[in-house]
Amino acid sequence: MHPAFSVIFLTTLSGVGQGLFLALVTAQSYAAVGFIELHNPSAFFGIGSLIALLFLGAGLFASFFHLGHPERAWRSIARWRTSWLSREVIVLPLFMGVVFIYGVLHYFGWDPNVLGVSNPLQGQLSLLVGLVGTVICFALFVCTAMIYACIKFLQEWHTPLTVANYTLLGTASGFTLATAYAAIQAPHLTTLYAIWAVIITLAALVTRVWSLLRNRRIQYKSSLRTAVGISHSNIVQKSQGFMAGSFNTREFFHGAPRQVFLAIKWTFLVLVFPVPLLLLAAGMASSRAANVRGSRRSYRRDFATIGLSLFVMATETHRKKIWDLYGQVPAYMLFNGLFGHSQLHQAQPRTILHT
Amino acid sequence: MTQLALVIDLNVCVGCHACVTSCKQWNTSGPAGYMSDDNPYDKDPTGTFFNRVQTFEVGDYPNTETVHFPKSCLHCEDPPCVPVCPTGASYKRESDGIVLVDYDKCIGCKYCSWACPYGMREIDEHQKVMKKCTLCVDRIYDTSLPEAERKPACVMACPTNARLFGDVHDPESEVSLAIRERGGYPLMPEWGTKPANHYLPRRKTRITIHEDELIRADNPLKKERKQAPHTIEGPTLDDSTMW
Amino acid sequence: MRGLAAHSNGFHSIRSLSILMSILGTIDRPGGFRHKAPFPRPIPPCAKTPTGPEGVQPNTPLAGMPLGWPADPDDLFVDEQGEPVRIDKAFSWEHPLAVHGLMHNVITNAWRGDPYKIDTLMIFMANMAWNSSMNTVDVRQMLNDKDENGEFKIPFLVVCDAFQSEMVAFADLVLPDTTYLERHDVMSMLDRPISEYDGPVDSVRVPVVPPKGECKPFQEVLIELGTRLKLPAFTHEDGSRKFRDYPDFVINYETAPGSGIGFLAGWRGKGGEKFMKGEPNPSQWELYEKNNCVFHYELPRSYQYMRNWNQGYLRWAQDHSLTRYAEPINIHIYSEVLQKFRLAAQGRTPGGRVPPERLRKRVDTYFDPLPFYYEPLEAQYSDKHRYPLNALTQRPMAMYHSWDSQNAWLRQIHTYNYLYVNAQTAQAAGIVDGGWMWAESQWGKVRCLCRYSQAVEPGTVWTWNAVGKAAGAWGLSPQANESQQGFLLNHLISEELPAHSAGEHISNSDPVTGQAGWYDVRVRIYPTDAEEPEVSSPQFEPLQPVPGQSKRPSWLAWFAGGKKGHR
Repeated sequence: MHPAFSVIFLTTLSGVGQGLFLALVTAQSYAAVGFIELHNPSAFFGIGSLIALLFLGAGLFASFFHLGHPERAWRSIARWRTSWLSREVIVLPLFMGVVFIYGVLHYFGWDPNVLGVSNPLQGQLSLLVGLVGTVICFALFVCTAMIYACIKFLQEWHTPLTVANYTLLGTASGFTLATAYAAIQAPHLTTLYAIWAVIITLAALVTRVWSLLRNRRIQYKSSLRTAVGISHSNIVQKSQGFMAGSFNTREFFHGAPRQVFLAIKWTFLVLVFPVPLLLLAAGMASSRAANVRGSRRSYRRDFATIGLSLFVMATETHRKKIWDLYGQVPAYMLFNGLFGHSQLHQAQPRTILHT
Repeated sequence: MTQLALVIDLNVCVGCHACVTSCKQWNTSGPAGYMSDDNPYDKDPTGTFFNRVQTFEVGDYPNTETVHFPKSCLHCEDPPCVPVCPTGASYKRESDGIVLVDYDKCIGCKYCSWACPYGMREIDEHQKVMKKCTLCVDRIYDTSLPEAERKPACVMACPTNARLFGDVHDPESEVSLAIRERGGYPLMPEWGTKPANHYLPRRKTRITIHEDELIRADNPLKKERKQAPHTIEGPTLDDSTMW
Repeated sequence: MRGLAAHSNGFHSIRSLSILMSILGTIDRPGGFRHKAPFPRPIPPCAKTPTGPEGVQPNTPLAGMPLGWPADPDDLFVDEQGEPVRIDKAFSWEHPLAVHGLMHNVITNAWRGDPYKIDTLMIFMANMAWNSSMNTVDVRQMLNDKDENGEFKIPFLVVCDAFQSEMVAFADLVLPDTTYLERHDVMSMLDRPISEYDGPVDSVRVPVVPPKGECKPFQEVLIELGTRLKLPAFTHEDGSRKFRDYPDFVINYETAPGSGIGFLAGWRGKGGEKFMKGEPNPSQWELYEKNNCVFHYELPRSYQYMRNWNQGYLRWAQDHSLTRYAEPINIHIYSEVLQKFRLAAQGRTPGGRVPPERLRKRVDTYFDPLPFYYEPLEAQYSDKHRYPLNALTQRPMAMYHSWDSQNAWLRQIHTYNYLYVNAQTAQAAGIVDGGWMWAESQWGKVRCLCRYSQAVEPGTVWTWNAVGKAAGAWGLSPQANESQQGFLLNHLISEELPAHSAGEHISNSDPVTGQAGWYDVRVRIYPTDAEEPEVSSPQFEPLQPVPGQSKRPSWLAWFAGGKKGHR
């Protein structure tokens, strides 16, 4: 499919925001049960929430560019009973609201002890809000992913792996951002976030490779035979009924030649998974060296740099992943007008289908 | 419950595009708004159409068939494009089963076009809403038209009568009879969308002629051949019949 | 003319088919070949052209019909040497039964001054600088060619067209025509009506929108010209104007004074009470309009079949002046008409007209009274090993009767054209599907896109006709696909045969009827070189926009009552 950049921005940015929020709640939960100590939590969580909100807001903002009629966007909450898109539209602002409340509670220190337990739990209202937010956050991941996964005709998308990929990649990018954020704001959390970032990125690698393998072996339910209802082994489309493109060719074919497409796939696989790990290893090594030298500033600077590059990598991962989703020409579109187009003949859509 | 639909006879479609042009002509001038065209006089002209005719070649020379394949919205009985619509702009009418888009509610998110396995929805690049075949809903109920013209524009235009229109739920309708008696089939039945539109398959007409049939037994040329006089001996009934 | 007729052996092929139908008894039988009024007509029909140069005099109307049906050598339109009189050489010994003329040779003949030079060429609804001509590249040069005195060989060229076609670019004078929606028209019983099997039908068009700018229906131009030239059909005896305008002409014109036969068969007679024949009816247009612009007379059922021999029908046709004779119309299995020409060629008609020496063998061969198959003439004079393939075209149905693919959305269906080649033939020539290739005949070559097909016979290649356009023509941008990827097969087709015993400049047409041999060209195909540009060839200097031509919008949308576009 032709990647819609507005949608890629929406899912990437909101994924980062969601992941960052999860990272914040993770730290608070660890602190609540006494695993870690927090210095200046109100600023850390307050500003962190603001950053998450900015990402979510930017994503929401980007999504408007996808719409033909953004002024009617409010209508899209109408069909939440049937449409995952409608559900996403409801859950995203809801989540943003919760993140806002979470941030405000922390920043202004409004954190009454609503549970009546003071030790080891701290900040109970904000923690509750955080936990509620976490549930909504995962609901948002599910909604976003299900928009794609619920389309059964697009067999590459129609799998729980789509949900897993969305959740893991969003979370990974959020935790990586949290690593960078912590390097500046709360250095003692950096290692925690870095480790989680690595774990989640590895998990994402697993589901990603898994889905690539799955897609390679996919058995398509539809064929040209069922699409035109003619039982013959040799059916060739000679004309689409138009010659210079239509909505279908614009929307469902990315237009990239096959070589470019394969190059993108391998760049994605090589750069986006091993490179962050290498960087992380380098980061660990340099931070140990920095510790030895006792230079806290350089430690922070190095980790911030590494964290940021990791973050770029992770969002890139996410972006590529979504690009990839779009990169797939839906099987059925091949039967609905893409055959016979001269560009496509060179691009071999069948192969693209499998990437 | 009524389910209006088209039944398209691939056996007689000649791929003339009359349905395509009459559809565009009628619908671009329709009350629901235009169907825009980009680069109308320039390189790569492209625009919104509700109906397109694809062409396939089936088999290898000399056993080849050229199949012209008109495609428009199939008005599925379980249309996958409807539940995914976040605004309810995409809907299926209870009264006659036509799947329509409410252009005033459509936000142009294109989600329904992803969900349609038949690729039969097109966004209008300038009106910015999703469009598709309406079965000429603005014709078929227009009482100011003569009764015989209350049919979709494509059906009116088809020079070979390859397009039939009617209620596929009425077992006695022309379309139901055609589906039943001429092997009408839906597209991609594997997805359970139950398309209301059906296609009538290509038919091969073969006559078997036995060699005997080529030789005329009562060839008049033979009758004219001179025959030798034939006489018989002995009595006959004539000889003894007296009345 | 398409199909069987578009070959130089088309006449005998179609005659064979007709005779086969006659033998099978399928003529005007249920399920067979049905007649539509005014057919069947006497064989041969009655109309005749002048028969010699004396029939054409300056400032004098033509002494006879411009087109007719010669029935023996004396009906030919030739001079004393037996050479053609007409510019297209129709009704001469070269093409004796050229009942439709030979439009495709007019420009070449006029350019060569053979049989005579012309001072004015008037063209209506024919794109002779493009897809209506064979040998388009040379014809375009002829239109601009000058003689040794520096004068144009075709000095004055008038083109009447509703669109900025390739032909318009060559005009000295453009008469902007109206479209069908802006003028009156008749589909008349006098010229290819729209009759049904069950009886005569004719129809009219009435304007539904006013003409734009200075457009004028070409019919009005002709009536004005005829009136000012004081042609008898358009003036009273005192020389005064007979017809106010075209609608007036349609109502009041009669084939002969008082004949009661005019353009329209319906609602004739003073009050519209007669049909087929009757005095002119001043309110005939209104009556047509009231009746959906169509007149349809349904024959009694017993008159609907076997009309060649149906006494009732023939009497009816005679009574209504559709035909002169009520005699049975027998299909000639052995054609006495053809035999007369053949006997003349054999010198067996003492005192009668004979073909010039060079054409004797040709007439003798092709005026066989019984049909026969022969290889198309061009193939007879071509190197079939060098050019092994037949090449032909057909008009895409989506654009039939719409020469103007500048319709913003119609051109999306056939934006450019491929040459369809059987996959095996193409692979043998090393041409890839969707790739660029050359098709070359002994007359010229075109670079075009190839599309494999299993639906075409391996010895034939074909493409859609007239999708390719000259750059900048038809109001399209010079980058439009029509000119850059589309191509015209006409560049490969010649309007004349290679020089041979019958003459140096014999038309590439059927030797009996002069029907153009559009489908006789033979070609060879080969792939392009890697470094060649990916654009169709030949290309021409792009047409420049003419004054007043509106800018091309970047998008456009029509809606009821108008259109909307943006740059």
